[in-house]
Amino acid sequence: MATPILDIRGLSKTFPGGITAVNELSLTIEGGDIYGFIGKNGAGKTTTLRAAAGILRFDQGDILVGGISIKEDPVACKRKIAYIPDNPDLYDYLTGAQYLAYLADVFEVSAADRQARIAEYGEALDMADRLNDLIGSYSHGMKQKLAMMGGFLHAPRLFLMDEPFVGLDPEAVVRVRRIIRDFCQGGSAVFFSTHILEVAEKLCNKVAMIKEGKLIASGETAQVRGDQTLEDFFLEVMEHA
Amino acid sequence: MRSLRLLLYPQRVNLLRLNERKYTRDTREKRRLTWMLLAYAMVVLVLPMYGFFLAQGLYEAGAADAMVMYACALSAVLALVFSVVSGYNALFGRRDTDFVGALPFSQQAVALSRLIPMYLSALLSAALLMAPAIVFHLVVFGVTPGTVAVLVALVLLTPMLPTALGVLFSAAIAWISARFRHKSVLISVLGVLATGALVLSAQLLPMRATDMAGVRTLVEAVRQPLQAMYPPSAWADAALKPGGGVQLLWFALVNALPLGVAALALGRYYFALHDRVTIASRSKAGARSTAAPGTALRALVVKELRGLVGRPMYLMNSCVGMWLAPIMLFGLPLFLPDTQAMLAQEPGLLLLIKRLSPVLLSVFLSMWSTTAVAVSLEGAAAWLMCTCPVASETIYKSKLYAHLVPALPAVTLSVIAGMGLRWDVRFRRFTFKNDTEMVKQSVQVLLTMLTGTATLLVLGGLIYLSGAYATWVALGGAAALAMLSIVLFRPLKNKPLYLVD
Ligand SMILES: Nc1ncnc2c1ncn2[C@@H]1O[C@H](COP(=O)(O)OP(=O)(O)OP(=O)(O)O)[C@@H](O)[C@H]1O
Ligand SMILES: [Mg+2]
Repeated sequence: MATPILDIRGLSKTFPGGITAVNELSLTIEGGDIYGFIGKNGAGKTTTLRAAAGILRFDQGDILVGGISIKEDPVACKRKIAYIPDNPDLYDYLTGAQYLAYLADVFEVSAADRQARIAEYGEALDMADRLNDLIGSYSHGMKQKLAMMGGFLHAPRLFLMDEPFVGLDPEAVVRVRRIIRDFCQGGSAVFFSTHILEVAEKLCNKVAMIKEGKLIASGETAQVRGDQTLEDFFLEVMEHA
Repeated sequence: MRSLRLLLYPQRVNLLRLNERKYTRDTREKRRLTWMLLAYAMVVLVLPMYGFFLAQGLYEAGAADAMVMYACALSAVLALVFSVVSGYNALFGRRDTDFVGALPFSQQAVALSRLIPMYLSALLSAALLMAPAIVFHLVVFGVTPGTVAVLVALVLLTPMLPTALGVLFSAAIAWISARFRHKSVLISVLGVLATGALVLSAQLLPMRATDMAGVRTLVEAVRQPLQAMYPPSAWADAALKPGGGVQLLWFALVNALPLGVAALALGRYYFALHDRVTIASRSKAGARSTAAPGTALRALVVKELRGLVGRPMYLMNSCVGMWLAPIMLFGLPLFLPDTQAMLAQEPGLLLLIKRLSPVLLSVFLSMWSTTAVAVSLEGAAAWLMCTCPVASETIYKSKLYAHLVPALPAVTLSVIAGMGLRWDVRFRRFTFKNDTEMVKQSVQVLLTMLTGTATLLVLGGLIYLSGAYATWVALGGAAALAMLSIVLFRPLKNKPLYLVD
């Protein structure tokens, strides 16, 4: 079997003050997967994603990205990752173009690639003519789009996205979905949290459900929900698990 | 190197907010940023001016050989203050830690990219302050390659130890901030103690420097305790004399080593430290009942006061000094045996102090006003204030009332508070990343300081000129200022408050 792109093994995280946000969570994500992460507010989704992105220390377990432990070689892992946080706090004092050039430099994207990709995604997400404005003058959704463009720009193996569709207009949602599908057909994987179960049902080939830090269901979407809708399954599981 | 250069890019490109100035389409904002640049230029001019007075005073007093040593010691203190503030900002106050943390940079590069600007800003302040002393030194003792090399080394090395200490102190402040409910009280107390120690130690020195001979004696008297408190100054002193190579080495070691250790430690533990320091543990206090209903104004004032108490750096920056400086400078020294003996001998002096004290106090108080960013302080939560179902006048009032409390010794000087508030309503900006940045980079704070000082200089001049009627003029002036504050506040009554104009 090929090495999974993301392999979370027995992850636990307890915050100072005693909240155990994630409790012995294990999850495997392979190339081509579009993996939805579902759970109630405060269930531990953001905590898991942040740990996988290497920006949160964790107490127990390990996280492997392409077979490399994020604890042992965080930089090698991060080269393969694009992390899009739930609240796109970007540098307000840079222009969109400056920000993208910065990220392209960081991830060593070749001059030809960066030009082509900025043009492509700028067009797709309707941002091309605003890239020379300061990020501080963008709307929430525009910041979100720019953050995503920054992610697409370096063609990562693994996308970690925290509620990526919040604040995007319907057209942008469709475009982003399309781009994500293209990436996954090329062998990349996406792991994203969402509260919109229709999106998960339509887009994801696999889903995971988390409750109070514990994984309570995971696998192929169709198998997880059985013959119910994902919504019904979610409500039932949250009540009984 | 490559990752460092990249990590420093966002800060470098927006140095002095030039990038924003260049790309903003908002002409009002552009003008504001131009003013900001002028304000920076003024601040930058102040340092070499201080340095010049220091060097010149010492030169006239015939203590030319001590100029560099004193400039060096002074720069170290200044650099320490700079480093604590900028360290708090750069290491623990930035919102981009998550973003940068998820990028493929080593922890070492991230840590260095935060440490280097700290060192550079300390270096800039030290260089500006030391420049005049260095020029004087070269003029007096001649320019040789050796001397120039030693002087350059001293400038480069002096800010290193303070930067390392700044890392330590800012970590402590951030740690405290994240943990204690009444953190600002604690930090204020620490600030009071530190300032008190500073003022007291200054007062314990023989202070009879009325003529140049007196200055000379003072210079000699200070040299010993200074070199005891800050030994590197002795080495700096000796390094400039023939055969001072060993001392220069010591100086280099004592400065470079701690910074090296700080860099290594941050390189290894920065993210862990950041987490430890900034992730708050859950408050143990249960939900207290806040059942007693009150008016909207009261609720707003209480919220405002909580905000003041909850921001230690803001309080330190713009508020503690307000009541601390006059107490320390005029209150404490009066009780020292030296001063008391002197006052007993010269009753005329006491009278003069009494007469001028309101002015002196006012001058100090006028240099700060917490209201100058009271509106902007709402930051990202400003929408809450703007959507409050109350007249904007009520909001302004709540700011004014709450912010008069820390200025209690100067109630008559509410004019400054009123002025600050007006400037802030005019220049408000809700995009600050943290409260230190807000105080340090606001035109309104600078304007309040300048207008406040100017007003009081006028009043002080009048009192000075009025001779025997000084007390009456002072009282009248205070009353006039109180009236003025009402006049200043009145127009705000009908000024609507928008998130964006
Ligand atoms: N920095 C922090 N310090 C202390 N506790 C935290 C911190 N971040 C998260 N927690 C706690 O960890 C738990 C999980 O939070 P997390 O943000 O992972 O939830 P989530 O599933 O992303 O929720 P949402 O759907 O609301 O985004 C919560 O109980 C939260 O209070
Ligand atoms: Mg979340």
